[in-house]
Amino acid sequence: MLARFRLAELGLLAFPVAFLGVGLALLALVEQGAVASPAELRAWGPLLLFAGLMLAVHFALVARWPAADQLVLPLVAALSAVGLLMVTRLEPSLAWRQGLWLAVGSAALLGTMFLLPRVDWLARYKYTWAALGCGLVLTTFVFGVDPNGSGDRLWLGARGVYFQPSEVFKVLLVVFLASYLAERREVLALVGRRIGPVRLPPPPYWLPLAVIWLLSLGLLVIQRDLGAAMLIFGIFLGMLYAATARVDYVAGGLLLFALGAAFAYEAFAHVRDRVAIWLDPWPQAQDRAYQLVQGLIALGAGGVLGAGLGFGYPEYIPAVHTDFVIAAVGEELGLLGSLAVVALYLLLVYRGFRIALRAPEGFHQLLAAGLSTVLGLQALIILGGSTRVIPLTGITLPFISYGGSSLLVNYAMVGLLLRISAETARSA
Amino acid sequence: MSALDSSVDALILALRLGLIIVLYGFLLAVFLLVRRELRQQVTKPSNVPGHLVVVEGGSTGLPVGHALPLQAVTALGRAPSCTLPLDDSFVSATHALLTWRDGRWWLRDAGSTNGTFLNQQAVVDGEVPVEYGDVVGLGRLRLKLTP
Repeated sequence: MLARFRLAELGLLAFPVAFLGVGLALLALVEQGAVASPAELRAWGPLLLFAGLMLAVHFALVARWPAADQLVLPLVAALSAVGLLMVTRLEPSLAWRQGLWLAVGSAALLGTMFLLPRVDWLARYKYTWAALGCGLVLTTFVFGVDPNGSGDRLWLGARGVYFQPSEVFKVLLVVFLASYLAERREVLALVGRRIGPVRLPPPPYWLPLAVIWLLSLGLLVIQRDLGAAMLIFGIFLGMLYAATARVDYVAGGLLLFALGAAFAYEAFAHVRDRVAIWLDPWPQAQDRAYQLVQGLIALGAGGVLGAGLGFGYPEYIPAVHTDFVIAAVGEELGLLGSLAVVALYLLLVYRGFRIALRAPEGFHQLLAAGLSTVLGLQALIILGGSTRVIPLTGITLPFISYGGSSLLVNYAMVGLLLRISAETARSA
Repeated sequence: MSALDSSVDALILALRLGLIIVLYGFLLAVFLLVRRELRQQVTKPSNVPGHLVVVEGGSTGLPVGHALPLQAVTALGRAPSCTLPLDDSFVSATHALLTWRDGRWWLRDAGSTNGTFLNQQAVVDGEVPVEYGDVVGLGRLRLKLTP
């Protein structure tokens, strides 16, 4: 059957490649001025690399996992193309690095697909993953370095190559939770004592869960990584709901979150700062709220159609190639551009949940749902933070922000999603 | 010089337009594919008159009101190889068999641990006839047979 050749995927991949091509050509033209012939444009290198990587992944899938979902890779490719284009625009010196990380990411995607014996294999070692994750975060607490000078020691590494363990932690957490909840979902959903209107599951079951949650939150708040703390908590609640369908658990969790947030607000000055600039950034526009305000101005300056690639002023925005990249997208590609980015994330999350719904059994379903939740929630947190919908936290926009560990981990997660969808199709 | 400038400007404008067009063209293509996929799912032909509508989904995650298609011989159970895999932990690997024969539906228990029920009554030996509106119980699932 034609579906075996994944023609839909191939056809769709043409768009991100074309997008990158047009974008890089545009950028080169804006920066170089007139050229005698297209061959002189400096755009070809990254374009060929990108096209090559996506095609390589595509053909690897055709060869080994033809039944996997065909829309996921093009969506990720589109987001990655936007990312590569933006990095080339904002920090040209880092463009090849981003390309390199894309290559590493693609390898990670293929690695998770080919090296994993079965998706269920992950479920067997859940406490290993939990321990590994906690261990990694603890390591940053002791050995953490801060290559960007932002004040938070969240990285491990040396001599120019850094990686962020909290990124790996989130995946390990998802795998652990998926496995733990899949085993215990009936017990968590049914049995329990009542405290008022809320029914609690018996302690032997929720205790390990609560411990790991508290540990993750504590470590992250101590590390001042508020974005990750928010993300971890959101993942935890989302997966708990997906596994048990109990709204009262989510309500209870949100209450705990509110309590935690209130405590953090009282206890930590930097939390107070973040909330203050979220509520009213303008008095502090030259000071603490500078990044946020510049981002908002950029979005406003972009209007609907954008100022045009290369015509904006992203140099006013700190960390514009990482956390605040949506401000640059909004300024240069306009509302049309940023809405398209949001649409891409929506579609990716939709696809992930669709994979979850079609999976035959609990662990696969929860894993797919969890991975989709991570991607969607992470995008939501930083998009919301950059646009002042929620307080700003330092977290990357998946696939678009410059950042190696983020790209690597996100690609690995996509690989897992594709693997789940392939195994579902195979067992049908 | 200015002629070259303005043609470069025109090219830049064209490329800017092209960039947005490619981006939205992609979204459109994805949307069309998804729509086609959804349509194919809905109109999948079922040559026997019957669906099982979820009244209670147990831990399968199936929403109430969801209609499961039936084949002439439908194996219900937790194993993925069943015609209708149902991932509730109180459902056996092969739990029950629903067969279309002689113009009506027949329910048979396939040796399940927790039993198969028709309108709250246990299905013990052999086959029992099932009418539209009857509720089949297996594990924590309640499924109503509809045309």
